[in-house]
Amino acid sequence: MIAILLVEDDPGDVLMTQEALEGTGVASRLNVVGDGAQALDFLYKRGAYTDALTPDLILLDLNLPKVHGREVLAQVKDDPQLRQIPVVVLTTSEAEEDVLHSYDLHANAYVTKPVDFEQFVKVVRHIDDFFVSVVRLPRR
Amino acid sequence: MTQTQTVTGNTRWDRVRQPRVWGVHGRIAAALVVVVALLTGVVTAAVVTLLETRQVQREVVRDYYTGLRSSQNYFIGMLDSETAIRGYALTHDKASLKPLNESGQPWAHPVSGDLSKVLPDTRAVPKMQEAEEAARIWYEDWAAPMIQLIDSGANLTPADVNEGRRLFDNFRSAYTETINTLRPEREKAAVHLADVTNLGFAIGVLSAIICLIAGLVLWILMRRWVSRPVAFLAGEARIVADGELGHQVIGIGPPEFVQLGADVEMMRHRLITEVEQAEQARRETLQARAILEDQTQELQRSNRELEQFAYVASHDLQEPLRKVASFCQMLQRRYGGQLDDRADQYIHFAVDGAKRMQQLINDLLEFSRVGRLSAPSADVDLSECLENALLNLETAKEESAAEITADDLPVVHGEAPLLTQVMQNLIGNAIKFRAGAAPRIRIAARRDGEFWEFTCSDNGIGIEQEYADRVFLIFQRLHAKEAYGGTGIGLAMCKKIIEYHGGKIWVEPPPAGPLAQPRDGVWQPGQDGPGTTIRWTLPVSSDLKVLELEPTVKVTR
Repeated sequence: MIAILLVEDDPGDVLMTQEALEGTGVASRLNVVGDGAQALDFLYKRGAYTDALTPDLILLDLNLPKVHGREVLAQVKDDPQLRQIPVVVLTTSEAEEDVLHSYDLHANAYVTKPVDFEQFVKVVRHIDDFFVSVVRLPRR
Repeated sequence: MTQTQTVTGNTRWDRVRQPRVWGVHGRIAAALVVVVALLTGVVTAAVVTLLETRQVQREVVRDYYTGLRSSQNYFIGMLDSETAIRGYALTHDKASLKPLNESGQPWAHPVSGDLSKVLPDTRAVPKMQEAEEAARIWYEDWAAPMIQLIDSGANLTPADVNEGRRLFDNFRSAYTETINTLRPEREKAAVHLADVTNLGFAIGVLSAIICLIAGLVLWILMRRWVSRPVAFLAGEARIVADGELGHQVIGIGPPEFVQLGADVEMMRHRLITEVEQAEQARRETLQARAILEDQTQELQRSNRELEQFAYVASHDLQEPLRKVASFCQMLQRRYGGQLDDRADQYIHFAVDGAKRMQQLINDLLEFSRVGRLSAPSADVDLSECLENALLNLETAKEESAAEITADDLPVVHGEAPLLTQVMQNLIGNAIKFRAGAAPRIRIAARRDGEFWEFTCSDNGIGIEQEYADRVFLIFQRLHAKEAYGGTGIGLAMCKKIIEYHGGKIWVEPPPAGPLAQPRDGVWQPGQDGPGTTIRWTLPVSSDLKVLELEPTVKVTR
């Protein structure tokens, strides 16, 4: 069982992600934060998140209020404790520069949210499946 | 010589009667005339003096000498004769008379005639005639009778001797007078000779002095008329040439130089005008450049804005679209059973519209990025581009059983991904817009001067000539999207990429004559269409016409 942190400001996307993960058993382990600052608080167990559980996987939107997704990515990958956590950038942007920039910052994967809902569900389940069943993650 | 020039070009000057002013030409001519006249006078005087000198010299040296000598010879002849007679009287020897016989017998041969010929002006001739008369009387009245007397053996009486002496003295005194006349005359002539010689010398010296003065005067005049005005004008011109364009040039001296000065002045005015025009042109150029600079900056700014817009479009515009599509689908999934077919259709159209819109946005975005988000340009082997394009088209190629042939393609300078995309779009179109037969596609290349020219020809459905330009416009479609998919970005993209690389692209007009038509509105299996030939060029070597922009786009949000 892995814990996932979803960093997503759009309630619609949160809902869709939750729907996509429904039935996979992940939903209960899904933590959601709405902006970059909260994401960092969550990861560093600050403020309201002192009891937070360090996630096994981070699904990160780029276009976030307060602290941009890129900034969150940069800080996570710069931190020796956090950088082991795989980060999947899950965003609407198809812009090449976003892709390049994300990988420059050591994102583990870059996924563009499909327009088609069925596709979206498929993609989210793929990600989940991949990180739960296929990959081996560092032990905590 | 007429004075027609005006320094200022003011016509008023033409109307005012100008005093007669001598030009350089006239002045030099006049000076030369004066000098020539002077020299002629001097030379004439010298010649006259020389002739006179020669005349006087001949008189002194030859005429008077001849005169004196013949007179003296005459006298000596007489003296010899007289002595001979006296000797004969003493000796009675005939031999004593030899000197007389050899004396030339002057009494019988007068010299006064010769003397008057040689010295026509002398006053000695009458004296000489007198002496000759006395000599004739001495001989006839005394000498001849005495010789006869002595021949007869008689002796001369003292009276005879005295008579002889008296007659001879008559002769001698007349002769002495002759000599005394000739000698002073000769002295006088000698003095005259000296005078004339002195005069000649004086004239020589005078000529030399006159020549010297004339030369000096001429030199001064030349200086004043020519050298000084020329030097002055040259100085003025140099001042202007050294950059003092405002310096007014005025000629001095003879009218020619005043005129020359006026011409130079006119030239200066023209020069000033031209310099001003050049300055004006330079200012205009600077202004134009400033405007261009502004416009370039404006263009860069607008490009950045467009870039930002494109980014925003890709990101923010897609978000709501995705929402629309996704939640419509969720609706269908969750409540599919509770809705009727019409509702399902509505949902289908909503989802389809949103997807198409997203595709359009993505295409537009991609289109706007050509030449902006550039990979570094390098030497690109178009054969490799073609290979990559064919790899990307593998599925379509296999499905359509397309047969693709290509020439050896050159290496050009540019961006490989973009050039690959051109190939991919063109070949993709050729496959997509095929007629009944399997696509046969040919890529050809040939060099045409500074450009490579490429063609992509197929046997597809062709492009009607009237739409040949429209196909390159973004999102222009010639067919219903049900018949052929796609947003209509392909050729617009090709055009933008080719133009960005400095080339051109166009649809080759179809060959003359009737074109292949689909039978009953449908292309039959195996049937070739009229085909399409797209032709494009790329420079053999060129830098990309890329606007100076930041290499990657920074978006601040």
